[in-house]
Amino acid sequence: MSAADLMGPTDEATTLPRRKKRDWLFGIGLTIVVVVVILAAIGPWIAPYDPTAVTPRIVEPPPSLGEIPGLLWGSITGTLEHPPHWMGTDASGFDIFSRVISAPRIDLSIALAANGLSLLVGVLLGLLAGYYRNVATGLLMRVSDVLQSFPVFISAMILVALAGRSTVNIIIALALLYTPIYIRLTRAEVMSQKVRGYVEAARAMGNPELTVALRHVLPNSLAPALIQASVTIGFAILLTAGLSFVGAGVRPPTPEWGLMISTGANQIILGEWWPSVFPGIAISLTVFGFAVLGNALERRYDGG
Amino acid sequence: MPRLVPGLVPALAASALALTVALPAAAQSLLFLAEDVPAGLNYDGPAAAIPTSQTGMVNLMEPLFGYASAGENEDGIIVPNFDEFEGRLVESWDYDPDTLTWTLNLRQGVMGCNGAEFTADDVVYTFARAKSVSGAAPIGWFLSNVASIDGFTPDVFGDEAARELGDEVVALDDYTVQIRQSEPNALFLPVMTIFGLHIFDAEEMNANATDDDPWAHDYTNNVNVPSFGPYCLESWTKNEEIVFTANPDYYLGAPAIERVVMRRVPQSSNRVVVLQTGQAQLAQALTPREYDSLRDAAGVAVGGVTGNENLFVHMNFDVPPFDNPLVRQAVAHAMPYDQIIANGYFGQAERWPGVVPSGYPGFHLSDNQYDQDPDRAAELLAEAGYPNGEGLDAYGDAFALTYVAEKESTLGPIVNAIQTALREVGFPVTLNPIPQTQYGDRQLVQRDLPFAVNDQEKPIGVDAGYAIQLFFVSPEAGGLNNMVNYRNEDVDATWALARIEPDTDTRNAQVAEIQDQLMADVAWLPVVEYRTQWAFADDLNGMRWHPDNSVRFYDLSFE
Repeated sequence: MSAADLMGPTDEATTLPRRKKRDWLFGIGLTIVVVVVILAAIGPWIAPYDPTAVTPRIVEPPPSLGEIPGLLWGSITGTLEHPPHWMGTDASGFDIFSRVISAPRIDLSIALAANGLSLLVGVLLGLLAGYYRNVATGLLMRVSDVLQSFPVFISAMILVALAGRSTVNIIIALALLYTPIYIRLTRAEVMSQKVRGYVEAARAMGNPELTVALRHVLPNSLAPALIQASVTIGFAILLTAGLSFVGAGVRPPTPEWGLMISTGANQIILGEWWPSVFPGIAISLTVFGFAVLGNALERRYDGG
Repeated sequence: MPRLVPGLVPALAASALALTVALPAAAQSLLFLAEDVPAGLNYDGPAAAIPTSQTGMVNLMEPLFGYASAGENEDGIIVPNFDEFEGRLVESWDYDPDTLTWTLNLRQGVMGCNGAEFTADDVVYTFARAKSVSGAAPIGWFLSNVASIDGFTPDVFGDEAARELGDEVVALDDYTVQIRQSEPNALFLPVMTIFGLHIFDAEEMNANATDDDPWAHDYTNNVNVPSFGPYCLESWTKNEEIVFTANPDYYLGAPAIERVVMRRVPQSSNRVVVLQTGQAQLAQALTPREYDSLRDAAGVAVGGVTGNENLFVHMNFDVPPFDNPLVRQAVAHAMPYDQIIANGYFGQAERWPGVVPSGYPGFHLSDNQYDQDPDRAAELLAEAGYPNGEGLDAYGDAFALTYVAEKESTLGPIVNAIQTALREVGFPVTLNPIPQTQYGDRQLVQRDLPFAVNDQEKPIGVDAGYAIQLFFVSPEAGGLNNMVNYRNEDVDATWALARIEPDTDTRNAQVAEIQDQLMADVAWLPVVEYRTQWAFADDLNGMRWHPDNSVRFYDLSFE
């Protein structure tokens, strides 16, 4: 038996900060996620321009590095005619900076809502499928297999096209596509948990099967699904952006990164890179942040 | 910040595209990049309204009449003289006002692509097919009806016997045809120039007819359209490419360009890239900014006309609160006209002061104009019972401004400007991009679009009266495309008089009266007339504008 095996919960808690320090990637991921969450909460309020209202200045490039100090000073002293367009403006005259920092509200909301829904449904169905092995749960797994066999992006496009282009429909489509992941993960964990001694003990105490499943097996089977959720949120943001990019996502002029990239893509040929590059960077960082966070959590769960 | 390595991105994109876009084979050839290729070549078929389908038809077929040239405009584009008609398949003609009969003396020795000679039978066949209303979209019948050709009445839709061609169109001999009208109508000659009455090669059409399809709709929808035009069809792959080869026996002389490849390149930015490399010689349907970017490009020229393309805001008279004229006027005064011209079209558009193309005969500059005036808009809105827009939320999706999603790069900046300006006044405008097919269905068939931006309606018949009948006359009085459900008994009654008025001045006065009424009612909210443009190799000569906005390859030649 190793020293680690002998450690109780208190010892584990004391080693966690040290692990965090060592895991600098975890720190970066966590920072990005926190910033995104904060922007989702206050982004539209701190934006210098209304992200859905055009300005008279169209396709204005971002300021050069040399101009930035002067513009910062001007912003502080209030001597500028109008707030600077830190990331330029697009073909409609929208301030790209305002839209980039406002976009997390919609992107993150969709991702969180879709993930929350799929997590809730997936975990419950996974619990049933793992705990009760019968024809019905077998059928549930086959349906889940079929859903997972379709390419996620294509399926999402079809679902949104059929249901209509709205935020609620995007959430439902994503939730439907991600639910099988949670079903499978939870089912596998439940199957390994239900043969453990504490389950037998719970049964021996006369608890009904449903109570055993919900009160004892479920809490101990949640970890894989929760770790997966962090990774899936990142992919849900990417998928939301992808749907908007191909015209199946949110409606313009909603500030949404994928929509911004799509709108700006045609301008690249004219040398105007900023309408699509800045939202592209934002979405890349965000997905990276959630992926790194999920990875770190997974390592911690696996004891790595 | 300076642009990131200017030219690098286009160069990379060009390299990639060069792998997929090959040069035309022959030296005297043209590679024409368009947003699509013809979806059909049948003007009575389902694809007739699609501009690129019309391009296919007008290059393979031949009209009875055309417009003479009025010379070049400031861009070097040849423009038509709407006051002077010239015979095309018709060599000379005569009109008898007593019997309302046109006698057409046809050109002799005109040969089609399949070796058949053009005769009066081809003209009779063309009108018989139009009257059969056997196609998905009876455009030939509609045009004949607009021209008041006797017997081309709405009865054809209820009575099978009425679909038989009688003596209203008869061949007197191989090269003489008589066409009789039911009433005097000035639109006869303008209508005969439109692609929807171009002449078929009857022999070849009959050879491709079947018992189930006696008018060869399947053949023309999917295989070819035999006629007497300057070009013959070499190959056609829908959604990809169509290849035209010169008709060596064309009666006006063999075309200078022997082979034309029209290729589908959906993204306008990709069309720009390939044109800049010199691999393509002609491109259309670019965004105003892309045209601007090409004006100074080496080896490329840009030219265009203010013809009949326009943008207007559509407010449905059957959908509250747009049934309230005060609301429509408030929207009109809130519209950011100058911003749309400057930021949406980069100056390549002009304010549209009417509901008929301003260059058309019969256009009338009405006193009922609506400049942007947010204060006046707010007053009108309050007068309508919605101060600061209060209460308008009750109308749900009525203020979802609908537009064609595929045109996002062109219309996006425009609808964003409109939304911002209207919101400032109090209109709860949202944006609703929908696919082209859905837009077309809701506009033309369902007629249920409450609030929309439209940049694709153009009256091809060059006459103010034609536009009025097409768009504003009620369906009961003969209107065809009254997409906003506008109904005005005075307009219908005045048009009924103007339609048969032989005196030009009197007719113009009647048509002007109608235009005043349409502007007062804000039947449409006209916003801009934008330029119809092309980008092409600078050694390509002869670009000419036609009212259907389709390029005729016969007009073109290389230096």
